[in-house]
Amino acid sequence: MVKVVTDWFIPVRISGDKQGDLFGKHLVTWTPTITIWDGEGREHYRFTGFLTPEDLCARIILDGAKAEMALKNYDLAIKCLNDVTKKYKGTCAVPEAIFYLGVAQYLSSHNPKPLREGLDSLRKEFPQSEWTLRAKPYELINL
Amino acid sequence: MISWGDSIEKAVKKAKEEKKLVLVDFFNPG
Repeated sequence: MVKVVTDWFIPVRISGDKQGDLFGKHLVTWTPTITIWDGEGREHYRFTGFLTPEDLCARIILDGAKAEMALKNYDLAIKCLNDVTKKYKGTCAVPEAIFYLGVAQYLSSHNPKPLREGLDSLRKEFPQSEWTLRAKPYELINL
Repeated sequence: MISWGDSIEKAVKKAKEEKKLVLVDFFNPG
C-alpha cells in the first residue's frame, strides 16, 4: 500500500476539521472520499467509503490506471490493470479491471479482440457483475 | 510511512514536475 502510493502518487490529506471549506469546494459530502488527480489539476476519479486494505489498494491502482489511460499512458495502464486482475484476485475491483484492461489494450493497439476477450473472461468469472453487462455489446466482435 | 501533504495545489505542481498523479484523501478525524 505504502509503495503504491509513494511510487505513483503525490499524497495529500484534507482534514474536515482544519480545511472543511475544501470539502464544499470539491463537492465532498461524505468521508472517507479519495480522489485522483493529474498534474494539470484535473480530477479523474473518486470513491467514497471504507474498504479493506487489499480492496483499497486494488481500487487505487485501478483508478490510477484509468487516469493513466485517459492520459494515453497505455503501457502503464495495461501493466497496472493486469496487476489488479492477477495480484488482487478476490477484491471488488477485479471485474472493472478486466473491463478496462480490454479497453486499454484496444486503445493502445486498435485491435478490438481484447474487448471480446474481456467479455469472455467476465462471463466466466463474474457472470452476475455489472461489468459483464456493460461489456455485452462486445459479443459482436469475432475472435 | 506515507508523507501526506495538506495542499492540493502544491501536490498538483509536484505531480506535474515528477510525472505522477495526485491522491487526495478527504477525511474527518475521530
